[in-house]
Amino acid sequence: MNVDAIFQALNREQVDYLLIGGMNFLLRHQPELTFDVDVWVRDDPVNLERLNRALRSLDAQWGPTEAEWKPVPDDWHWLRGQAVFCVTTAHGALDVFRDVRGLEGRYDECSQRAVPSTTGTGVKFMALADQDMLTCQEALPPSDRKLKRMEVLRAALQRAKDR
Amino acid sequence: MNWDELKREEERKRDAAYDPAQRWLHIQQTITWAEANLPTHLRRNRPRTRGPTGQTISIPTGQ
Repeated sequence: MNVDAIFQALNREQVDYLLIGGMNFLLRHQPELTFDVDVWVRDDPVNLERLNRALRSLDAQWGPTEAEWKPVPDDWHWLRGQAVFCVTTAHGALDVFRDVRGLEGRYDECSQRAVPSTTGTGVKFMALADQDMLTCQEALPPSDRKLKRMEVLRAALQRAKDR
Repeated sequence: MNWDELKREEERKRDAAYDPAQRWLHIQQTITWAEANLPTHLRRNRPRTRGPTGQTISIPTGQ
């Protein structure tokens, strides 16, 4: 997966988004097995329209069932259908969240404390802050929580507090 | 369908729809991209350096 290409497409269309999930943890803390990019997008019509343009430029595909898997439509309103979409793109798997469990309705707040970051080739993105990553994990059912990730995040937050 | 069920169903659907050859290629590319983008002290294919806390990070190296 070319993660740079995914960020570049989102940036080109001026999508308001935050990198969340395993890739965010991997880039900022420790190597972790992850095979998709998770982004949380501001849930408003203008941003969803921009997101749809970015998805189309990435040759994204999605379907209500696997049998109906096809390129995403021109009209962005399909993104209103549910809270999360797992799509395929020409560059890899992308999960799009209109809201995030544990952080419901708090996009603006999380966006303000997000960490400005760049990839190795200089592509800019905003990353969900550690405290918010931890909140996400704590909101998951115990069987789905990533305990190692939580431990590392708690240690990082403690170090930041001690400084 | 609650939130967790929806997420699982979305992942299941995508896995079912993914072209296996393309999926495998994307996984390999992801590993390569991630390795190149890790902070230098965490990269596994080069000599370790000290991290921001001054501690050596313990990562299995197969050595």
